[in-house]
Amino acid sequence: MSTPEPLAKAPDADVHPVTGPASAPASTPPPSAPVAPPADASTDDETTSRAKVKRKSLKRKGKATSDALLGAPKDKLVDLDVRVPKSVRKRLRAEAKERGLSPDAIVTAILDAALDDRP
Amino acid sequence: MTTVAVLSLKGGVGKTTTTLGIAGAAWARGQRVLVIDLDPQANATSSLDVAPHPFTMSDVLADGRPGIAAEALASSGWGPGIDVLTSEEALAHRNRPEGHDSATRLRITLEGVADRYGLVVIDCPPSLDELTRNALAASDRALIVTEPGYYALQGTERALRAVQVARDSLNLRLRPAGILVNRVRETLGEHRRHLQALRTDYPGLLLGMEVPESPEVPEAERAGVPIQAWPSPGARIVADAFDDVLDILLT
Repeated sequence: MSTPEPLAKAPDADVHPVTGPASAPASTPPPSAPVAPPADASTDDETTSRAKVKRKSLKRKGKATSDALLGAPKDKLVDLDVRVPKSVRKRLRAEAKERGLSPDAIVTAILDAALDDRP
Repeated sequence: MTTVAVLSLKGGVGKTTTTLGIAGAAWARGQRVLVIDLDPQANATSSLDVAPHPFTMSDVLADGRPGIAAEALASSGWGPGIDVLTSEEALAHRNRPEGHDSATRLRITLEGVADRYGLVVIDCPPSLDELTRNALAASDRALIVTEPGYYALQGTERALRAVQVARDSLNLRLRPAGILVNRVRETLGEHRRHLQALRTDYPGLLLGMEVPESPEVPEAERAGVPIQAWPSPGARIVADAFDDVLDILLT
C-alpha cells in the first residue's frame, strides 16, 4: 500500500512519559469509546450505563465460562433464514461443537468478519 | 494468518516469555512471524535482538494511517522470517484514548501488513488501557498468561472480563485462546493448590499444558536467542510446551 507521506517520529517521542515536559493533556474519550474499563477499575466511565451493561458476570448459571465469553454481542438479534448445502450445515455444527458455541454464534462471527473484510 | 494478543493484568507473569515462546515455535516451523511489542518496557524488542530502526509502535500509532506499520518493520536477529514492530518508552504516550479511532489504530495500521505473516503475536503491557484495547481489537485470539500465585489469579479474572468487553464492543472475531499457566513448579504445594483452583474455576479455558519454571528462559532471553535454539534439556521442555500452545492457537 502506498502512502503519500512517509512515517515520521511522533512529536512526543523525546518526551519521557513520566518525568519529561508536560505533554498535551489526553483528549477526553469520545462518547463512542468502545471498551469500558473492567468492573474493578475506578474511572469515571464506570458511571455510564453502557459500562454497567458490559459488567456482567462471566459465570452464568448453567453455562461454561467460555460460553459467557463468547456470548452474542449486545445488539438486537433478528432471524435470518438462509438455505445452505447440507454439508455446510454439518461442518458448521461440528465447528460449533468443537468450540463449545452455538451455530448461531459461529455464523454471526463469520458473517461479521467477512463483511468487515470486503474490499 | 492468525493474530494473537498475549495479555495479563499482572506484570512479571511471563507475557513476553510467552510471546517469544510462541513466536519461536512458529519460526522453528518455518512460518513467517511478526512480533508486535506493545509494552513500553520493550523487553520483547530487546530479546528479539532487533536491528536498529528509526520507527517504533509509538510512531505508528501516532500516525494511524492504514498500512503505515509496514514502514516500521524491523528485522530480528533470530534470523530470516521473523520481523518486529518495536517498542520504546515513549509508547506509554499512546496508552490513553486519543480520537475516535483510538482503540482500533493498530488494526488500521496493520492493514495489508499482517497478511504477509503466518502468525502475528502481540505482547501487551500489564494494564487494560488503550494499548491493550488496540491489541484486542486487532487480534483473532487472546491468550491470557498467569502464574500459580494469588495476585496473578485475580488478574486472570479481570483479563477474561476485558476480553469479553473487547469482543462485544470492538472485535467480534476475537476469541479467547485460553489461560496459560507459566512458571509452574509442581513440587511446590502452593503452586499445586493454585493450579487446582484454576482447573476448577476455568475448566473450559485452562490450557492442558503448563510452562515449567526454568532458568534457561531468562538466559535465552538475555542472549537474544529463541528458547527453541537454546541447547539444554530444560529449554527443550519449555520449547515443547510452547509448541503445544501454538498448535492450539492455530486450530
